[in-house]
Amino acid sequence: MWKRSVLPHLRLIWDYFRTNLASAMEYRASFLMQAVGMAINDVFFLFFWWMVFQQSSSLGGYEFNDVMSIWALSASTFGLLHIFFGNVRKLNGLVQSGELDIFLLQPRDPYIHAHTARMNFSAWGDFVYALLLFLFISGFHPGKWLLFLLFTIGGALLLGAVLSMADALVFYWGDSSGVTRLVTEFMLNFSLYPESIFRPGVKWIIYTILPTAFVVFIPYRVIQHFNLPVCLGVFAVDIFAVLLARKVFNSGLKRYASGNRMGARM
Amino acid sequence: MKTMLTASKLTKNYRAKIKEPGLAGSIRAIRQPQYREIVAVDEIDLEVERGEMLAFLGPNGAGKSTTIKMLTGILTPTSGTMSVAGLVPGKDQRELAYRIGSVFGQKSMLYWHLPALDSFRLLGAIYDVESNVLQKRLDALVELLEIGEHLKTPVRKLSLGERMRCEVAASLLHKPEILFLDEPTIGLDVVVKAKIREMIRRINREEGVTVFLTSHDIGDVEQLCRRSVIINHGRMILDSTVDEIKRSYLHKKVIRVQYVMDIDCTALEGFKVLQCKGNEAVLEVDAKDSSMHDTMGRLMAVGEVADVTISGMPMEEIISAIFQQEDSRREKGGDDA
Amino acid sequence: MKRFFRKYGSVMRVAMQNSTVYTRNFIFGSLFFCLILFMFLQLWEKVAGERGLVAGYSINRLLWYYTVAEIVTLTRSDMLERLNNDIRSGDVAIQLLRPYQYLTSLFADAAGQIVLRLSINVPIGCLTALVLVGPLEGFQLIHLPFMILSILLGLFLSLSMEAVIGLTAFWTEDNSAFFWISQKLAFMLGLFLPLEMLPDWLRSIAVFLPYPYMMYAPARLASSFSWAEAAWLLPGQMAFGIAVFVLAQAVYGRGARMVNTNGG
Repeated sequence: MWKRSVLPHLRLIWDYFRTNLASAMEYRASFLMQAVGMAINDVFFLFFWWMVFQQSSSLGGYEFNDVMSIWALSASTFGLLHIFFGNVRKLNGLVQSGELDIFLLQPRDPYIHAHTARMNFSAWGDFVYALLLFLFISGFHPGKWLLFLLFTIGGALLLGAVLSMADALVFYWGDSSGVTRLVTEFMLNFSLYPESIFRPGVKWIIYTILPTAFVVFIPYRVIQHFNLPVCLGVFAVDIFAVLLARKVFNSGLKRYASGNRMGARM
Repeated sequence: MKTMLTASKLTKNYRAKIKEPGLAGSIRAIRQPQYREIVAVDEIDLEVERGEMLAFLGPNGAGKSTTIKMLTGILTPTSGTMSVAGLVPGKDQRELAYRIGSVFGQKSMLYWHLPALDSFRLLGAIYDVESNVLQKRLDALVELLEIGEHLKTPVRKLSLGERMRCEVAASLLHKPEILFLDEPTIGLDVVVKAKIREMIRRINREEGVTVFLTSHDIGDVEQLCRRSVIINHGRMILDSTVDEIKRSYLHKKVIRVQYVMDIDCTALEGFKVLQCKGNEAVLEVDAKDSSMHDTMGRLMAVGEVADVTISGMPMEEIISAIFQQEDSRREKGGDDA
Repeated sequence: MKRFFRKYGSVMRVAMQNSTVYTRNFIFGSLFFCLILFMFLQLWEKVAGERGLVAGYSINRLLWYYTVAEIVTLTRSDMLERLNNDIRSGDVAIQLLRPYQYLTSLFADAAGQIVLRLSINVPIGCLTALVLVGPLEGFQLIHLPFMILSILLGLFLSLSMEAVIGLTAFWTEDNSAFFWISQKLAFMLGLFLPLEMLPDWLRSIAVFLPYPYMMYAPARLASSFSWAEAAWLLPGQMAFGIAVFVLAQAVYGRGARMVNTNGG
């Protein structure tokens, strides 16, 4: 089952990763500029948090280092997702430009294929910056690093699943890029602040429909105090989300094929 | 199995939102969207033999793209049945993908900044072509399409024609049985067009690939295909050999008359006037209906003739004549939605 | 003068009509606005803790500060994208032939979009702030005209800045890095952090940069109005607004001459 249902997807992702990276290397200057730009962007936010902690040394038990760790985790997750699945959040554009057709004409799983076909270069800035930040805060602790990387992968899958589900609304509504942007903003905002500031209502949200708790907060607790059942639970949630998102995408695709919404463009 | 592709009563309806102009219209369209059913493809019947080259013609918006999207399984038809390479598009999509190749106009399969070879390797992986098989296949295609020297150049540095040949190679890597070409010569200059046509002919002849080609360029049809299907407003209006089309319109002539002084266009009543302005008129006459002698006599009665040219109809105009006939028939029939 | 208004006024009106097509995006943009305010409220409440005070701002004033600062930030036009597109595609050469001043018509178009967005962002922001923290403490009607003036000046300065950045497209392939850095400076020197939260040395540098006059000035005047501060913030906004606008005209003049002589 592994060999037939997972391995081909991994190979496809790897093949695209290699080709996209080669393409990025062809115009190094622009690639570096985007990546460095993103890293500078991140430095500004470090400054922001530094200033916030000048006003108060602890936010409900979270200190500067905690916030930075959470932030490292969310930046690495976001970065990794956009490195390997650069077309995530781009479905609206793919549908409108008709590029989605290509993925339907080729013998691969359209959900994975469409998302993995591109690499977002600036995401490297986020990813590398996040690794450096984590190194700076946690030093080199093999166990923590292993968990950090595993949760980054799992979180990327979960985040990608949620964002792609929002994006799949394009199949039902026509242009839904506004929803995609909004869900992205919510997911980002809910994973960049310490959990302690959230009011109870928001906690409900981050443990359910916008599950940033499973992307950053629970993983961060597990990295600090390892707990196997919780760890496995998080991965189960990640995998479930991906399967669900793929189902949503595929049923949306049926509507695309029936072409009711695409009227104006023939 | 001799038949490559069949379609019967293939139909596709769209629902389009309609919006009245202006601000008020926009707001109304959001509150209470109005829809209009558009028949993009209307009961098309098709049959293509293995190894055939078929031209699928029509003006923009005639339903060509919609048809090709249905045949390749991207769109599901509203009604009707079809089969391509013995498979049902959309249903057996995975298997079908291995058997068809496609080049869609301006939608590139090649990485812009990389040499085409890198894209070919990626496509080989996507289509599960073993690497030694891929290498042999590449060698063959390089020879067939004469792209050897372009393989290692970044695609952005290739000319449009070179790039198009690489696109075609990309679509043939997995040895498809049928190749769908959507406007393959669009935007190319005359010399490059000829080259691409030559390549397509070669692919068809040497690889035995069935070619299904849409175009609004008559040259593609005249030079490539023996048979052509013409559609307009989603309906098939002609399915015959290219030669036959030409023959049946051979007796039609186009006459361009130049008078010394401006003429009164109403004096040409009774003729089919294509154009009349100032001292010049362009007419279409059917040699079956009236003798050239009478025609010339009547034309000379209108004014003092300075110059006359008489020509047979080029394919382009034959087709637009067919469209015009069809359109006027529809208007008279009053079945225009 | 009348012709001027008729010409550029209709450019502005068309821009407003065009924008209504994106009603759905407006709704989502507004939700985003609410989210940001809500996040800030949660954060600063925690920071303020028992004291209820951050850098001299009460939670109520601080949230109104963010509301106004965000109104200025979110009320954007597509000036930058337009300039980038027109210059890269060479359309600008065609625009030069038309009987109106290209840059002025872009400003008119942007003004149209801004008016429309303001008419949505102001009520959304004020409503959200009202729900979250109630009416602004110590609000007096006499301050209102100065607040509005300050917001408009902030918008004008931001827009002129965008124009300058967009116009660099005449010389650079990719100016998005300039925009990013400029935007982040504006965020840190006024949007996310009121000047009062910055260390002294940084604050004394910041007042000589244009950035605090985009978001900080209107947000400060709106949340904690004082005549003394208005007396230096408003003139500062005007001075920087005019300076940057003149700079944009000059940059455009150079770029246009270059296009004319090089033929695009």
